[in-house]
Amino acid sequence: MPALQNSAHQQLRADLIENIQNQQHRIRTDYPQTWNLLKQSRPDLTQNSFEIPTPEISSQQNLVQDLKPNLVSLSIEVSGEEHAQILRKLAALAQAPVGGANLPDQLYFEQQLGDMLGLTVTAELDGYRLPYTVAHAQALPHFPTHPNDQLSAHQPKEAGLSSTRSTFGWLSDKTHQYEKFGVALPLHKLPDWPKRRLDYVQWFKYRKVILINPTQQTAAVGVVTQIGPAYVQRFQVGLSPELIRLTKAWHPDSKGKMVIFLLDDSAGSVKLGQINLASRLKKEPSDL
Amino acid sequence: MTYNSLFAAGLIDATLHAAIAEHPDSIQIQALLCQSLLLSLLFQLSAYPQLPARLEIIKSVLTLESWTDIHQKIKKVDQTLAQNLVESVKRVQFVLLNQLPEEAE
Repeated sequence: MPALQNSAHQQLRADLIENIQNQQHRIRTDYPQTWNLLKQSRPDLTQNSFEIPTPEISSQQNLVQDLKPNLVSLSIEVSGEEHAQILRKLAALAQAPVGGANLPDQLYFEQQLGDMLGLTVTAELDGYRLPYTVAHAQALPHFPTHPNDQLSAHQPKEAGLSSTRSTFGWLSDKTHQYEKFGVALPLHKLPDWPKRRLDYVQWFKYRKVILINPTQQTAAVGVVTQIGPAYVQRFQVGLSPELIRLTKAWHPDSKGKMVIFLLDDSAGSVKLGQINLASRLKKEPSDL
Repeated sequence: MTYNSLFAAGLIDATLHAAIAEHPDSIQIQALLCQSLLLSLLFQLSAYPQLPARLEIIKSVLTLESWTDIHQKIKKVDQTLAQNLVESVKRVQFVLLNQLPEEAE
C-alpha cells in the first residue's frame, strides 16, 4: 500500500475522531441533559477512546502492537513530539494569571490531556465550572476522618491535624482514603452561591479533579473534600499534605501554582493519586 | 442511524464514499462517520428548545436505524429543521473532505 494512501487513511480516521470529540465536548458542555440521556441510552456515543483494530504502520504503534495485539488505543497516537509540545504549553501556563476564566488553548489541553492520560479531562462538566482553573495552592493540615482520630494515624505528621472535620462530614470506610487526596475549593466564590449553595455542595461533594503543576510537570488526581480557603487573595485552592508532596507544589520554582481540571469519572474507575506527566505517554494514575 | 441508510438516501458524498471504501478499516470508518453525524444532529436538536416533544424526538433519533425514518419523523414536526439537518450532514462531510490530503480525493 503506498505511503501516501496510508497517510490519507490515517488522516481520515484522525479527522473523524477529532470531529466526534469536538461534538461530544459541545454537547457535554452546552446540553448536559442530552449528554446524560446519551450516557444512559447510548453510552457508545459518549466514549472518547477509540480502538484501532488493525496494525498501523508507525513504529511506535508497532511497538505497542507487540505488547497488546489486536487492541491499540488511540491515545498511543500522542507521539513523543506531541507529548513534548503539550508539556511545553503546560510550562507556559505557569505564567497564566490566577483565575477561573477560560485558559488559553483550553480545548487543546482538555483533548490532549484526555488522550495522553486516557481520562476525560474538562474545565466544565454538567454545566458546572471550578471557581479557579489556575490557582495558588495552600498546604492544608490533615483533617480528622472520625471523632477519635489522632495525628499519629496520619503521615506526614509535621503537617498537623485540623481541629475541624471535612465539610462533607466524617469519612466512612469507603471514603477513608479521600483524606489523603483531599482538595479544598472556594465554592463560595462560584456565581449565585447564596442561591445555589445546596446545589453546588451536592455536585462538588467528593468530585474528582486533576491537579497539574505546570513547572514541575507533575499531576495528581484529588477529590473535593472541603470548601475553602475562605479568603482567596493569596491561595485559591487547598491541598492535603500528601497532594502537596505528590504534585511538588512545595517546589520553589512552582510557587504553588496549579492548573485544575474536572475529571468525568462517572464509572468511578479513575484511581486517586499521582500521575507523572513527564515520563509516560499513557499510564493509569497509581495509588499513593 | 446506519451508513447504508444515509448512502441509500444519497447523502454520502461520492468522494468521501470512495475514500471510505478504500480504507482498510472501512467498516470502522463508516461507524465513526455515523457517530459524528449523529452527534451533530443531536447537538442541533438540543439547540432547538421550541421543538415540541424534543426529548422524545432525540430518543427516537438514538434508536432509529434508518435515516429516512429519522428525517420523516422530524419533517412531520418541523420541515425547516429537517432540511437544516440534511444540510448539517452535508456540512460535516464537506469539512472532512477539505481536511483530507488531495491524494485521497
